[in-house]
Amino acid sequence: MRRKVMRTLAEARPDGLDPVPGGVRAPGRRRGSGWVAMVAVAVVVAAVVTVPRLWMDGRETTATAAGTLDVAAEAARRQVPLPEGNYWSVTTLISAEESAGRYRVTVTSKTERFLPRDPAGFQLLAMTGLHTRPLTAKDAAAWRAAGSPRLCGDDTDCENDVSPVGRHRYTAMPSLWPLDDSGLTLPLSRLVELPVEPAALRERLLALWPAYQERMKDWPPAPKGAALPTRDTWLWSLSLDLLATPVSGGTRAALYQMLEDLPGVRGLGRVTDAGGRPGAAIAMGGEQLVVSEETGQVLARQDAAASGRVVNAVLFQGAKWVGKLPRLPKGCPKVPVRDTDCVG
Amino acid sequence: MNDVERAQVLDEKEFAALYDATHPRVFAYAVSRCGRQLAEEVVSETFAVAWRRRADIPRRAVLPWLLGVARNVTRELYRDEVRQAALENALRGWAKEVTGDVAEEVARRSAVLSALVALSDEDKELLTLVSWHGLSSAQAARVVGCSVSAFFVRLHRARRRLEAALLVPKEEEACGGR
Repeated sequence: MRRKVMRTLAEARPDGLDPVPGGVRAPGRRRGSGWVAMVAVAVVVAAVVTVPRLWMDGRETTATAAGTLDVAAEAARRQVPLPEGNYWSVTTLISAEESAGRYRVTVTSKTERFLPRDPAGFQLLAMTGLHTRPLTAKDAAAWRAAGSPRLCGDDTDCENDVSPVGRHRYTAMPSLWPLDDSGLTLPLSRLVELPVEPAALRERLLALWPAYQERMKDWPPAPKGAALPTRDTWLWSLSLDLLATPVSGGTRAALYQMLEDLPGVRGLGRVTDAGGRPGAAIAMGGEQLVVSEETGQVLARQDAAASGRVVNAVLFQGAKWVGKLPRLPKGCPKVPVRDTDCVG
Repeated sequence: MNDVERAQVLDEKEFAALYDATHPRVFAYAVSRCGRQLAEEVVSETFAVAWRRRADIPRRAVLPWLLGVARNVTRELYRDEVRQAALENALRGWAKEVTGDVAEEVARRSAVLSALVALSDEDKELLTLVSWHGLSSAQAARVVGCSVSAFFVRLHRARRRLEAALLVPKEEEACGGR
């Protein structure tokens, strides 16, 4: 069974941290809504770019993915280049399922990222909370039985300090994040130069793998019986991140075809994403990629439980070049600089 | 810190109330940095410092401020090797002590604690500030003294390394078939 690693870690919190072992719980460490908040915060950090990668299982992978994204790849190849602007803007809705002890909730938030064409600039990340609701009627009943505590969503103690409801948090991030984390440091304007043939693209991306592997030597050693990311899991992650950038339609199509052929990737066929939109999907481990066959664009990245039920989703709402940034609140610089972080 | 955040200096009664409200959380933080045996001293020294500096306590961010003090106190009291060794011992102990009704979940929680041992001290701190101490990224960034965006990036990387430490080799077989 796969679980989100931050939730697993939260659940593994040792009783030994409390003053009296197994005794009275610390005030502030509530199993109720406070617990939701603490885990949800981790989800937002992780999901800003991607649904948290799961602790993968050893599920049998028999279904081949070959051909699953063919129609979508064709649509992508027909894509007309978009007029360029100074920022590449990507809008997503994020919904994450969280356990609050006796009941589960869904936390929904919206993020917009503005990646600067100038790699010396900073990326602007805008987050806003939408709502937090009990997951099912049964969860709603359990929540009411618990006294209907206020559900804070991504805001610890409802202090609006991460994704404020009704307001935005604006934070500066590295310009090429998270691509740079996977070892790809091409400026946005040069991503259109990436190959449009799957084999050539694979070769181009795999050329980055040795350097990434070298960087992993600085990582702490994996514990006994564990392993570092493999070439294939790294390539899957990097490719999914690339799909959210202004690559050409040809490169997008090549990415779909390359991913289909990646060892361990399964075809899920035609599905609807967590937002109810129809598309074609492939999966590696518990992570699903849903693509529109009509437009060739990515619809969603989703996490599924072993049962197949989707528990977390990043729903892509649109991506385009824009000329300028949204107007930032008073007291904020006009353009993000290092350490910019303001709410308004 | 600005004037809005800083209210009037706490009197003894108010400080006692603050101690009662926050002591368990400061203790939990200290244990997560150096194990139970060394934690008591960190906690008492932290509140001693807090009393002396009570004029500086930001009313709206008491906990991050206190944990920041505890963080510095821990560094002053113990050499890094001593503290890290004590913490590793504690983590190994907790990994063995995990209990529960479902064997699979017990194994999973135990595995995540064992994986945490292998991570760097900085990764351990960032991950536990969020998942064990219930701090938001903004609060945790304040404790470790970095910007929120820097914290996002560091947490993102730490989480990835924790995931990597949990990837079991049979996953490779299932994925790669080779």
